[in-house]
Amino acid sequence: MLKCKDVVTNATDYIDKEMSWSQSMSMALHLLLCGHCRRFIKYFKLSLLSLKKKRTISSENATQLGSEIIAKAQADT
Amino acid sequence: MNDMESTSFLEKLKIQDHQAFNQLVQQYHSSLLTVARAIVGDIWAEEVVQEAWVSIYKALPKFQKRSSLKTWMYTILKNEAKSRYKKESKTVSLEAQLPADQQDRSIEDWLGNAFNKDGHWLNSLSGWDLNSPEALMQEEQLHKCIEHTLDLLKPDQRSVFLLRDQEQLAMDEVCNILDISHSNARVLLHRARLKLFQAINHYQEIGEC
Repeated sequence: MLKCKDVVTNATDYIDKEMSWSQSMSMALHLLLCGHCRRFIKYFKLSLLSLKKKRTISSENATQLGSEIIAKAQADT
Repeated sequence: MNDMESTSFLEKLKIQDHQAFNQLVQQYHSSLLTVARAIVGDIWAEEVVQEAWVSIYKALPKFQKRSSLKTWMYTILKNEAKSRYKKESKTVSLEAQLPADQQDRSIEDWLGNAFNKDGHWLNSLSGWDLNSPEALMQEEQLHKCIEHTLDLLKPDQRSVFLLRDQEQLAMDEVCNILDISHSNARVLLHRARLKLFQAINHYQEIGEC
């Protein structure tokens, strides 16, 4: 039977589905029985979701930066 | 396939079409900067990315689609960044700028204090008031706390974490760009994720970073 500490130690492998079938079943069984660990896994996943925001620069900045890069590349050749 | 990987867009890039190149810069500049920061730190990241963009622009006519455009660009960036890191680390230790040992101790302390001797939680985690991704990101002070936590990660942990969880590259691509094994990458990723989790959990409990 897994301990709660094992759930924390293996959380990344669990949420990324990088576990063997038997390991995955052990985790699932533990999570079924342990509310503390269910909460941990829920918040662990949530903390990662907060980062999945694609950042881009403005079109104006991109045009200016692109022009500078092209000018430098052309000056080098 | 996204627009940046479409055949028509790649053909424009191969003839160094300026408008297409500007679109590429708009889409990827922030991502390249993130990766450069992870490899060389903040001081040289901007410069390294500028150099990488020049190299990318020059090499576009030779792009042969053996990998995705994104992976190809990250590989060029990696080479520029590692070259700069090697040069600059002769005079300045990047590692020395980061109090990473303190961060690792903080994780060990947390793990040590959270469980009893049988390995079970001493106390349940407190419920989070901010319990959606949007709520987490809209809390400005927490956002700063997250940025601060990311800045304090060890460079290798930060590299894996930012590429995988922020830039959302496949693990194989992350390993390829950083020249590390899959098992090592997973260990680094988990340590970084735990530190992020710990920082957010602390903020949710205390209300400050």
